[in-house]
Amino acid sequence: MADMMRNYRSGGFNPRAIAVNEMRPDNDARPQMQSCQKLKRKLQTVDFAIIETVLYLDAYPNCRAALDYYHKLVAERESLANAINEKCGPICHRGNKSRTEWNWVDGPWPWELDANS
Amino acid sequence: MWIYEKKLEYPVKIKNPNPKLAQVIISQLGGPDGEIGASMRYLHQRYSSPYGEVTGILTDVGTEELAHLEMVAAIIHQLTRNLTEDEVKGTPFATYFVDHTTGVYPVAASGVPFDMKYVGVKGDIITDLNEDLAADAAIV
Repeated sequence: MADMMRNYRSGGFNPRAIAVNEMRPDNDARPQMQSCQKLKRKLQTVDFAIIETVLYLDAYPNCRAALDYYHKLVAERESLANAINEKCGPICHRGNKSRTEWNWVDGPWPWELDANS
Repeated sequence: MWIYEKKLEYPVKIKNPNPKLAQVIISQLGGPDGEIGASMRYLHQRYSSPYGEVTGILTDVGTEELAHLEMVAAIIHQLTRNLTEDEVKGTPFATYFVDHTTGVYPVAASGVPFDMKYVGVKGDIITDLNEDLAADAAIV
């Protein structure tokens, strides 16, 4: 509820105000070239933007600007998540790419300090 | 249904354990205004919502509150990392430590375990949304 109130109070949807990723261009932006830590941080950022956009769309399902922004974010998310699954281990239980190892049970788990440094 | 993603919604990086702080923050997990209450409230109210938009919001916010409760649990876990009995002795955390050591158990700072009595679900969407305003306003 607090999230929805925040969106409403900010006066509607402005994708330009949220284009954080565009404000910091990466010289070597291809997901395959970045470290696991960087990739995961990026995923956290994009996923958060998606959550906020989804909550906005729940309240304003007819907002075309929000829906376009949503699709842009989701496409970016897909490529990030795939790169993480390939390179760093599964982010979700159906993302275990290895046919010889079950990496899903590998640490560190998200609440451990090592997973957040 | 729910899928779990192996990441926190936002990073939690606590370098120095602090049992005194853990004793306060535990309420955000298992207290009356904590994240377990929030997720249970929204996720259960959605079954009687007659409007798709509201059902969507209750589902998505309720799910996000589960992500929040994981972050609060991560904070408690890192604040109490490797603490020994001697280190908690004399702190307000000592009582919690008796029953849970450095495990993460959903209680309020008072020691009362999480209680579903903190949550209201009346089957009428306007009533339920009023409950939500009351609950979230406690935080705002």
